[in-house]
Amino acid sequence: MITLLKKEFKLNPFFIKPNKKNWLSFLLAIILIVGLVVIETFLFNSLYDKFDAYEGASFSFSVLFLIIVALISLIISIFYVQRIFFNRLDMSLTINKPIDYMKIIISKLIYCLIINYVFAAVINFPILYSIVPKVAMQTLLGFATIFYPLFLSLLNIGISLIISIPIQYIYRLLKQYPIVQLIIVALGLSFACYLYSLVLNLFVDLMNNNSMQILFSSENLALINDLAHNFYPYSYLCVSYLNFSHGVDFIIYLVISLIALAIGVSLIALFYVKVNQFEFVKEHNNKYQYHILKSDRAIIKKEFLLLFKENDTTYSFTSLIILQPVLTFLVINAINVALLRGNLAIYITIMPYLLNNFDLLMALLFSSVISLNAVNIYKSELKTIRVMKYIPYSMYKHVYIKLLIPFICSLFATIITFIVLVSTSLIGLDTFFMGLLLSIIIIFSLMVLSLKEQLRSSKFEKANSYLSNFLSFFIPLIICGVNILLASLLGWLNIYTYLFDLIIVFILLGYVIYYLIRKFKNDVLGLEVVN
Amino acid sequence: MEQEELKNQNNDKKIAIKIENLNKSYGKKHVLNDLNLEVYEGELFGYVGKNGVGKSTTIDCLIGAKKFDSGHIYINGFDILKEPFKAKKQFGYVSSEPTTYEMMTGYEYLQFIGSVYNMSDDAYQNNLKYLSNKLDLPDADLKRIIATYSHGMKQKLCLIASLIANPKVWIMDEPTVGLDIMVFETLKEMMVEFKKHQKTIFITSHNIDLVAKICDRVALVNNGRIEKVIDLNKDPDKRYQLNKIFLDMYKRSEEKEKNDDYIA
Repeated sequence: MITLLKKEFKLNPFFIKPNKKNWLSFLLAIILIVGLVVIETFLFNSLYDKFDAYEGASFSFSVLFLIIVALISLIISIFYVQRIFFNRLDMSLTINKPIDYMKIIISKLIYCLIINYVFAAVINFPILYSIVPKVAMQTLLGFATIFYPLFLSLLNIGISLIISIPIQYIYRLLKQYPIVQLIIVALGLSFACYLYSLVLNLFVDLMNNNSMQILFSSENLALINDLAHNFYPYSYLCVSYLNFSHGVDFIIYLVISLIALAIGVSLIALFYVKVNQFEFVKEHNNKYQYHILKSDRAIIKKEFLLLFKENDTTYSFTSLIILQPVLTFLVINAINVALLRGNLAIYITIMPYLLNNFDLLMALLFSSVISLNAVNIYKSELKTIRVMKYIPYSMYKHVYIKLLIPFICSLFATIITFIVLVSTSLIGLDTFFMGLLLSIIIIFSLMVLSLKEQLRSSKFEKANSYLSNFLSFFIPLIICGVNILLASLLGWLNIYTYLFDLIIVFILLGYVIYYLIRKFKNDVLGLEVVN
Repeated sequence: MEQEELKNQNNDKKIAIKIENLNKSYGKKHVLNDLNLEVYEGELFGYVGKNGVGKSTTIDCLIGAKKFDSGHIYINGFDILKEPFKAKKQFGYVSSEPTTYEMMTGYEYLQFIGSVYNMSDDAYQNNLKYLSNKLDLPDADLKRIIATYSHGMKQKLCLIASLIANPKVWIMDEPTVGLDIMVFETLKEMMVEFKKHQKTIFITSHNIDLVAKICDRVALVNNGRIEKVIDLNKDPDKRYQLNKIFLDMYKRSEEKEKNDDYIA
């Protein structure tokens, strides 16, 4: 059992000891988590103080906030329960070994509970410990806080296990319908964008110390109170935790959690093998699949299929480029509102170039980070490098097509993004033209750099593009940082700072063109399969 | 002496695969050491050896999937480095692990392979019909996404893909892994039929019985070199002794290594 549990931890990339190559990703992940926790705690405490002015509202608000955090933790647990229990390779490697079948399931369950506990503790402790000084029975509450994530995890894992089986069936059914898959992902991301803009606006209001009278209307306060007390079964836990007189609620919660966990484990025990071996079968009657194409067209078609029909890219690159205009618009709009409203507006009056450069930064960041996801030969062609190598087609041309197709897709998404931004007057014409030019050069350069890193990896299987990933953040930051510095120190007009930006990206482009002309062919021909 | 004799006898035969002084290393480890080999047109050639002696590396170099440090590889006279497209058009290849684009349907994958080999539509349709019937991969299966195939079905698809462009040389690396007995028998038939058309087959397999039964000549590989080439047509008794020859060779080699280590 311990060995099985160790195996689960070893499979988690987060528990792999950081080395020279992945320390940057590790550090970024830590910074991201800490940043999210800080924002969450800031939101909670700021709102708590405002709710405290109304009778009983702070209690309902605290319960509701804990419920929202519990739901976020549930969504995360649904994702990794899927990943841990429905890993076909893992199942095929363990199921034929002389290991008790239930031990495999129990070890995975314990692992899920530990991970959920840690995650729930990280996102709940800062809130819980900021509640402790504000309520009665502080010592007891402080002690009980240690166990709060554990009780939360019992229910979260129980629910995740119960719904994991239908989710797997739906997921496998959707694999047969890439367009439906794309629509669902796009809708999901749009909803996430909407939620994000809501939270951002709330955050901005708090930063500006607005009174937010609308939020504290009597109807809204009643709604918050209702939700907090009737969002079962989470209400039972959160209410009983903040008010020890509701002991019965806690027992009800515990019984429901244990029943959910028991049902979940039983269902997984029954369906673990069946679901892992199951696949929906659909005949694809596409008339274009029966006849021979020109070789170039066949390669282009294959690249499009890899981008739009492969599950991994559908859920990352494809859906993101479709949503890039909306996503960028929402974020830039929220930033503009934040900077032009309330206390922060004063800075814009003094430093008008700040607004332009923040908008430019966001537009460049979105286009560079999203586009870089697409040039991932080692992920999309890991095994099929062999096919690329043995077919009688120029490897050089093949890799060029592999680079150009995602570049063209990203180019379209970026052009549409900038048109949306300029047509909604979020950015001016000067930012539009320069931003678009900078974006196109950065996207192309980073894609080539990423390709270079992958081609030069000694072991292609472990290839990664750390430098290009780092540059996708760093270049937009350096461009906008230098712009702000130049404008504030020298009082340069935007047009001159943009010229400076062009020098930076043309240096990058120059290097990339030199690489493509002088070294690219050798790197492509040197690409080997890994046995 | 034995190999010299064979060389003289085979002087008049046309060479389909020629490997000259092939060297390949992974870092400091030499996997192929001056490997030389000639496979003749119309021959069914077995390339056998225990794990890790360089069989798959030889095939990877042969098909252009791996660079090599030095040496030359010719397929039907075309140098794999200097004329890669012409050389690659000569052969069809099957790997030990079915390697396909899993998000494609069976038809899409075969269309892709047929297209990159610049086949005519008529030839493609005829070959597709013949091969899918022969290997029992019906229309309904070919319309499905490859990710939903079983291992055996994927291997059948790879076998079809390897022959769809009507190659002159058929290179197979452990092709029988995961095949059921029916397909296994069909594959044997197909190899014999392929050979009848004066075409060449180069096969590696751990299934010594299969190699002994169908191959004309067999090369035994050890430490990145050809230790022995046996003409099974000339000496049919060796078909029944191949297992023993194989085991004896490695036993001797291991003993020699132990002695060398001891002396060192």
